[in-house]
Amino acid sequence: MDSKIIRACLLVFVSALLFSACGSDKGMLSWADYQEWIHDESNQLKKVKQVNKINISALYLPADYLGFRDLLSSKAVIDSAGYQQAKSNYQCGLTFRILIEPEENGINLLYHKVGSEGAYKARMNALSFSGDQYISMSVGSSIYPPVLVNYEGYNELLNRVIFTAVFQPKEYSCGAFQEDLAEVTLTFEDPFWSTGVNNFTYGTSILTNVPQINMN
Amino acid sequence: MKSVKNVLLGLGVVFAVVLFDSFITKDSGAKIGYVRSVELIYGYDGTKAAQAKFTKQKEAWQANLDTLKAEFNRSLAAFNEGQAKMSKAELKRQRQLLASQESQLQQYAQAITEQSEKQDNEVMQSVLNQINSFTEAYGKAQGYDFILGTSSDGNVLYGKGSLDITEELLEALNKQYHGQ
Repeated sequence: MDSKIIRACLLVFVSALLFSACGSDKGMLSWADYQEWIHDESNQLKKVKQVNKINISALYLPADYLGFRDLLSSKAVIDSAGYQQAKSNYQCGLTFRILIEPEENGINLLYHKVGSEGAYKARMNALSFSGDQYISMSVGSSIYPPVLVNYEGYNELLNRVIFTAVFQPKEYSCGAFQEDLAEVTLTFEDPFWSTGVNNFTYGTSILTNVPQINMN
Repeated sequence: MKSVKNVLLGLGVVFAVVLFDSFITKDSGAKIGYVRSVELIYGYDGTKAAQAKFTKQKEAWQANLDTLKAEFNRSLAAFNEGQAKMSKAELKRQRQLLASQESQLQQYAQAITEQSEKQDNEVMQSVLNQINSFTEAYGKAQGYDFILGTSSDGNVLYGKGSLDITEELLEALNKQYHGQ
């Protein structure tokens, strides 16, 4: 009787282990599937807000994604060692893409509420060189400016503005967060389009538990 | 001519009754909620954060102004103390310096008043944009036909307590503000 109970307990334990392992491992995806996966809002790497007919979206770009993208564009031989090397270039930072685009045409993001050439120049200057003034990350009670902000410019055809921001909070160490840390918040404090302060909160487990890229 | 007029009038009345009836029938099942606008705006964490930041900014401007005032008062006191010993030319020069200092002080005070008003309007406009956009999205998602806003000047005079969605809207709004 006792051995039956022990066996049943063991079975439950092993099943639970297997179940939890399946739950945490996002597995491997092909490059095409990976790109779709990170843009799928249900996977919580992409978050979108809509204020005043303007969409503001934040997308976490995992080191896997950035490394593999580099590898592809370098036209180097794609092998495991090269992938790991390319990935390691990004692993110690948290990279986000912030995209701003009007819901419908009519608002030109570059000229919206610009009343003079001086104001236009000031806007261009702020967009290009002052991203750290309006993009930040909150981790617990600490606020971190980005270590790098890249303004990718204004896409006239699609009427959108894109920034890439990289953060290195001390609570994050090359792929792992401090154990007791549950979430981090990316903040975009709109300087021009009257959409206010836009916070995007990410669970730390969401950021660290992403699939890998299958190179085959 | 008169009979044509009467027929047209009659038709018009029938048309109006049919229209009104269809409007009432169609909208009798409309889902309506109302919010206490002031509570919504000032209970919103985005408003609180914006106000706190703005207050901090105003305090920094005020501190600058106080420093300039203190400097001016020191200069004025030094002038009053030493003017008896000054030559006519020196007196004139010191008076000009004081006038210029006072003018700069007034200009700065004027500039921060204007900047403060402008920034206050911009900040509140951004907050209201967030609230309005969220309310619209919330209304659509929850299937509301109307969400009315009560205000102190009384555009909604009465609403059943069960239609008051202030608390639930505020909770959802604050969740959205915090990025969840």
